[in-house]
Amino acid sequence: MIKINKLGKLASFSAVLFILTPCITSCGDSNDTVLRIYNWEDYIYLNSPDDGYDEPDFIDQFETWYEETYHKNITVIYDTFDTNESMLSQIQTGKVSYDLICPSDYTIQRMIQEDLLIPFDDNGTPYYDMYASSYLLGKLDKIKITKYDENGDAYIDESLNVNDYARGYMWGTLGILYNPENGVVDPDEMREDLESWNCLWDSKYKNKVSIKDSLRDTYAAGILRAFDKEFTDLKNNKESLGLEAYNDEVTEIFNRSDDEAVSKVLDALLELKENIFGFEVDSGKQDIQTGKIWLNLAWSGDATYAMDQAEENDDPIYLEYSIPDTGANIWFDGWVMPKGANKELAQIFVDYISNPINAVKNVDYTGYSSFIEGQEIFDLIASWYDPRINEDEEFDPSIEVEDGWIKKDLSYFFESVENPILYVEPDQKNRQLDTLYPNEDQLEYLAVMDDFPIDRRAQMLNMWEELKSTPLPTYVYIILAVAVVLLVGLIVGVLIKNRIVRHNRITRRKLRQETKKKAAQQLNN
Amino acid sequence: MRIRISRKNLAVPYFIFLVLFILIPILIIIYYAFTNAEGYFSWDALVAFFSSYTKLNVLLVSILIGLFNTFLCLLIGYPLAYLLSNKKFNKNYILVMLFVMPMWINFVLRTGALRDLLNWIGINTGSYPLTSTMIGMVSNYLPFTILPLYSTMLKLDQSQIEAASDLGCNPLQVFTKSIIPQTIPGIVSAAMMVFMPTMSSYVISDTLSEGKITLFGNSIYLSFTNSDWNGGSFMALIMLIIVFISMIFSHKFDKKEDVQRGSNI
Repeated sequence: MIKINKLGKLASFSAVLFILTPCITSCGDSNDTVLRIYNWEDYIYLNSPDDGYDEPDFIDQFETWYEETYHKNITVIYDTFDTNESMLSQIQTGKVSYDLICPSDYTIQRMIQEDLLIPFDDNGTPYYDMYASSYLLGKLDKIKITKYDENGDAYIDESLNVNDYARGYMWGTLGILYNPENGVVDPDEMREDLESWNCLWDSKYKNKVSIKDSLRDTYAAGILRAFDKEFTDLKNNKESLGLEAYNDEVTEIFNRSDDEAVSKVLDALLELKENIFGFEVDSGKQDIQTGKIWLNLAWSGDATYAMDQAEENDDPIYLEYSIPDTGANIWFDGWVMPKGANKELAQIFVDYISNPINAVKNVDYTGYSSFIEGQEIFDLIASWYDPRINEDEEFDPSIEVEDGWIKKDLSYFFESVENPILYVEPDQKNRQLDTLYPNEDQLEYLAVMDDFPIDRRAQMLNMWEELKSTPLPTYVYIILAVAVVLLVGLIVGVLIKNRIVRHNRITRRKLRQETKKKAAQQLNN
Repeated sequence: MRIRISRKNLAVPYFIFLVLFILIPILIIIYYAFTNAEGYFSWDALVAFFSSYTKLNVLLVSILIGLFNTFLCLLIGYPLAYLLSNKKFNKNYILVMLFVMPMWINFVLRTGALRDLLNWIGINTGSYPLTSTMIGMVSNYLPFTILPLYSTMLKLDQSQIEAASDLGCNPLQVFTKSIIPQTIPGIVSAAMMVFMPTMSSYVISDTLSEGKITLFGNSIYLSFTNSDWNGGSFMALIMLIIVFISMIFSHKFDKKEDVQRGSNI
């Protein structure tokens, strides 16, 4: 036995050594040239020749570029996650470590609050500083970071700014994707209905609506319904308020999470639950094409993707997207560096991906709107949607504009582009271009949605569970109670019966023994 | 050097597996279930669970759906297994294969396909969430019911059945007095294979009820994805307790069966 133990020890020791060997020999000095990136799935350019993306993967392109520029080898480890929450819990428990992560706005807010991130250097990302849209930077600037003092009281830490900790990557809105050609409701009537969030609650669309199976997004829809009156009053007074103050007010209502707001939203959503086809995560894109649903609460990126797919069908469908004008959500995803990250390399990568000539590849591939503006991106968007295309299939602004074309002024976004004005054909209203880049007059009511405050999270979760749970009708409880009583009665009955039977058996046995005894005695006698 | 392989040593890999993947995870669940977010001992998760009407309601609904599914599966699976165990009817075991084959395909894929199928034949999954969920549950768990029933029915004591009818039992009495008692172990193990997984499943109810029916599994999943590790662990513990209770229950049944069979001899 001792021999075996020794051998076992030796074996396990050598096994451990074997596992560690590659690390001992290679981890040491190559540490500086490994970059670990954690991003959403399908969120970066990948080589896929079948769809016309012939260049190498974006990560490979970066590696080649880095080696040519810095004459050093680099290895990029690129992993993906599927929800902010799963990524965050991995980072919090220290199970994974990365140099760059790309979470959504509210998760970035929480990570700053929980002191998980390190700031970018002031001049660490020159291309980003040059080309990031100042409209979006302004939106980030307004996000407040709440901290807690020793007594647990919340206060806003003005020294923390999201723009120091994050570099935007993609952005978009939350709106409603709809099918105006559903064959039942008149398209123009439907477009009119879609100008308000109340359309989701409209019995005209009963069982033809699907909403997101996600607390935050569906809560947003609920709050827009629950406070519809306040939002409408604000909208009517926006001139006297001033657009900046108007947006601040909209953002304030949008981020309400007190008891009153939660119970109002719950009521609104319980009512909505009766009207919907279902909660979905990504089946909505398909279901709206097959006609299962007509309305889908959707993110702008998904909406454009669904529109592209639907018009390529054998039987093309022309879907549209609406951002009702009482208020709506604007979101973004951005790069952040967790503590312990290789800051230098991370910044080089962020700067590379923010260079418009590179950023355009990801826009082309993912279909989302980039945080970055610049001629290359503008030209790509123009070549997709503007009818002014020359023989080489390139955008040519010198081509004459025809009557009826709708003018789209994107100067709020493309500041470095000279004359950033596009035209689309009249039937392209509310279609891809309007989805990716809202009109300037829509910006005033777009609000960033904060992370739920720490002390409200449990409440929110309870609200969501209550919404998702299935309340049983009273008669089920009555039947259950009767069944339980019957069952208990049955068990007791069986027990009593068994006892009686056993009792009888014992008395019978005793009787038998006595008679035997008596018989024996008589025999003896 | 010589290594003696005794039977004891052969159990070592299994023991390591048991400790690593069953025992330690259970201990971790128990640890999280009785601590708070700061890592100190607390009853918070317990209090939160038993004071939440919603969570108890979800548990009740899951138990009911689990029971209902078990009932339906037995109702459909029992006669089917009986037919399949008949050698004349099921030549070459091809029919058994047909019922087992769906299990080779991942059930998430099958559920996705079933969703389209249901809509195609006119059962709108959004309008009839409960019906579609139950259809999905039965179609998914039926093979798990048929297999244990089938294997006990192969061992049916035909002479006892014949004797029962010879001694004057009508067919119904043959069924209730001879066939059912003989197949009770199969019924119990089939019920165990259906009831617990139904309660904790979440993909089927999520896909086929369009998110409108929440089972206990969904609830646990939701807690974990929202970083409520303590609440989620406590619910997982409840689940474990139910598993233990049903195991004891099924064990009792098995024992009773042995005693009865013994006394028959």
